[in-house]
Order: sequence, then structure tokens, then C-alpha cells
Amino acid sequence: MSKLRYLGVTLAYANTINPEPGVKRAPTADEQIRALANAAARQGGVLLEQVATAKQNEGLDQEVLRTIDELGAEAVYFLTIDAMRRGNRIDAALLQSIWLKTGRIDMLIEDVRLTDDGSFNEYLDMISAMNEVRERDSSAAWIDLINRGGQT
Amino acid sequence: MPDANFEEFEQRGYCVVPASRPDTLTALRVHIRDVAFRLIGATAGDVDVDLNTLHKHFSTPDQATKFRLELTTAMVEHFDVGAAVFEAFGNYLPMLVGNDVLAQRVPNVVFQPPGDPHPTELHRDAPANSPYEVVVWLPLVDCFGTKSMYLLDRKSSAEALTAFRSNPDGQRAFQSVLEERAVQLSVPYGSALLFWPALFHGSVVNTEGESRVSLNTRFKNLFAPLGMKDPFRYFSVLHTSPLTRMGMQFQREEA
Repeated sequence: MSKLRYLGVTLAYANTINPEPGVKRAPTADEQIRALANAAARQGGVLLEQVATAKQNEGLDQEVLRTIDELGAEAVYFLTIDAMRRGNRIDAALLQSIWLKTGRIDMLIEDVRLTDDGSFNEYLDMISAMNEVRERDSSAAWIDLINRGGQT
Repeated sequence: MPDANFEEFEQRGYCVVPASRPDTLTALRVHIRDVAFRLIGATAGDVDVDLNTLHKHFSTPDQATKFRLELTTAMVEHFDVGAAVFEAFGNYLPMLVGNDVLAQRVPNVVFQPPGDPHPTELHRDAPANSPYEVVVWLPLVDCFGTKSMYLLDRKSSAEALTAFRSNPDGQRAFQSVLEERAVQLSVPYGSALLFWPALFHGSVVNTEGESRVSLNTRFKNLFAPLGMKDPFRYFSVLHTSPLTRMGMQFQREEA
């Protein structure tokens, strides 16, 4: 039986020092690739040599769809869902396109495995909700509402 | 949620409630005991005795801490602990967080052997957690006296915070509120403490001669404001209503 061929998606952190609370330094690209390769192997798969890289807060380029086709990737292993984030929003449309091409998405840091339409759609619901919540939470209208004690 | 509990929760910021599904709670407790005993290689007996005497399997605090971390990971491998907690207290939690629910992905296990020199220090969860969450503190054994936890209710937590802010370098005013107002709670097995994450709480050295084994986990509405913790790492969707699912699908398709 052939091994599941994973395309790895790494994240180029905007800050290499203290990239997020509790983390002293961002993992290098090599460290990320090694971690993704080990994770893919634990799932009975193999990480393809070529990886895609997202820039933090800028998300992943649509080019990843062509890469999946060209390499014949059957699954995608993200270092983190943050690779799909553009500002406050996760790029749900691109994630859905990746899903339609592969039908298998894994995320290393979040320890998420999406293996069927049910699990993917549930995750997509959470992404949709978090996108709306983050946008609302940071909006001037919402802050104004909170400051007025919830009275409209 | 009965009105009295609801009023108590809003007034004090906490309430102790009995499980509405004791069978689910029993299954959860047995599961955790079984996983624990598999990890330590012991033969299970009476579940209440097994958990109350869990400390007898460890000779140092470091061993107990290592075991607790292993148990935290192992207990969620093939069992949805968050779902079981929500179901066990299903008469109360939906009244607080609604039907579109995010559950903490991996509940925390607390194992506090008698004399453990590292009780939970005084703290509050929000911030960094969202003040729109509810914390479920679930004892798996009877918890009383120093074997339990203490907290300050809403009013006292607010006063403690004011005392701290007015004199951040001095602990006396803050300590005074804490000593005068902290409530050491009795929470028997079969019930849970539901509390608001902005309450100050902690524990002291357990001198009761029995182990405290408890879980704490958090629930919030899917659409409630976020705290500082990354929701994708900390939470997963537990329930959504049919209407929410329809609305989200509609938005995706029409976008």
C-alpha cells in the first residue's frame, strides 16, 4: 500500500524572536520541515520534498493549488492554521479549495486531523464563526457597544 | 438551570450544582480511573477508594506531576471528556453558554496528593481567558476543607482587584481581602462548581490525608467574544444548532 503523499505548509514568522506568547523564538524552516516530516510519518504518510510557505498574517498564495496538482499531493500538512490567516481572517475559501483537491488536511500545532467531509465542515464552521467574531471584537461599533454597557 | 442557581451564579459568580446525568459522570470517572491505573500499572478496585488513595502510588511530587501530565493526554485519546462533562451537567451549561458551544479541547487534570507543596496559586483565568466562558470544576472525589479549592465571589474579586490596583507594590490590602472573604468550598463527588473566570481562586496545601483528583474545563458560546488564547488551539466545536449550521452554509455559498 502506497504512503499518503503530504504537501507540507510552513510558516514564515514575521518575528523570529518571541513570535507568540510563551514561545522564545520561531522555529526555523528546517525545523518546521523536520517536524512536519515526522508528523506525516506518524500518520502513515510521507512529506513531499517541496513545501509551500505562507507568510505570517499574509496567508498562503493560491499557487498552492497548482503545486498540489503538479506534485500529486494527496493531503496537506499545515504547521498551523495560522498559515491561512490574512490579518483577522482565516482564508476559508482557499482552505475549502485545498480540501476539495485532497480530502485530507492535518495541522501539527493544533493537533487536528480532517479526514472526512463531516470533520472538515465542522472545522469550517468554526473558522467561519471565528472570522466573524474576530472582526466584530475588533470593530469600533462593538467596542462602543461594550463601553455603553450593552445598551443599544 | 433552576432559577435559584441562575440567580446565584449571576450574583456570586459561581454555584455548585448536582449532575443532571449521574450515569454520564459515573462513566467519566471510571474512564479516568481506568486510564490512570493503566498508566501506573495497578489493579483497579472500588473507584472512590482508588482515586482517594491515588497518592500511594507515588513517592515524590515530581512523579505525581509527570503522571498528571500523562493522564491529561491519555484520558482524551479515545474519550470526549468535554462532551461528557457538558452532558453530565446538561441542565445548567446550555443556559449559560447556549446551544452553539465551544469546549476546551483538553480538560485540565488536577492531582493534589496530601502534603503536595505546590497547590494552585491565587489567580483568575480572565484575562487571558474570555470573560464570556464558564469554568466547570469537577471533583472526582469528595472535596472539602483543604482538599478543595477556594475562591472570592464577584464582589470580593472586584474589591481585591481595586485594592491591588490602588497599591500594586503592597500586598497587605489585597491579602486582607483574600483572608477575610475567600470561601473554601465543599463540592461532593456528583456535583460540580460552575464559576466565572474573572473570580480569583486557588488552593492550599491538601492536609486531608486523601488525594484530590479533579478536572477543570471551560465552555463558551461559539459567537461570544474571544479572550487572548488562540481559539483553534484551545477550543473545538462541541455543538452547533441546526439553524447555525444552515446559516453558515448559506453564508459560504452566497459569499
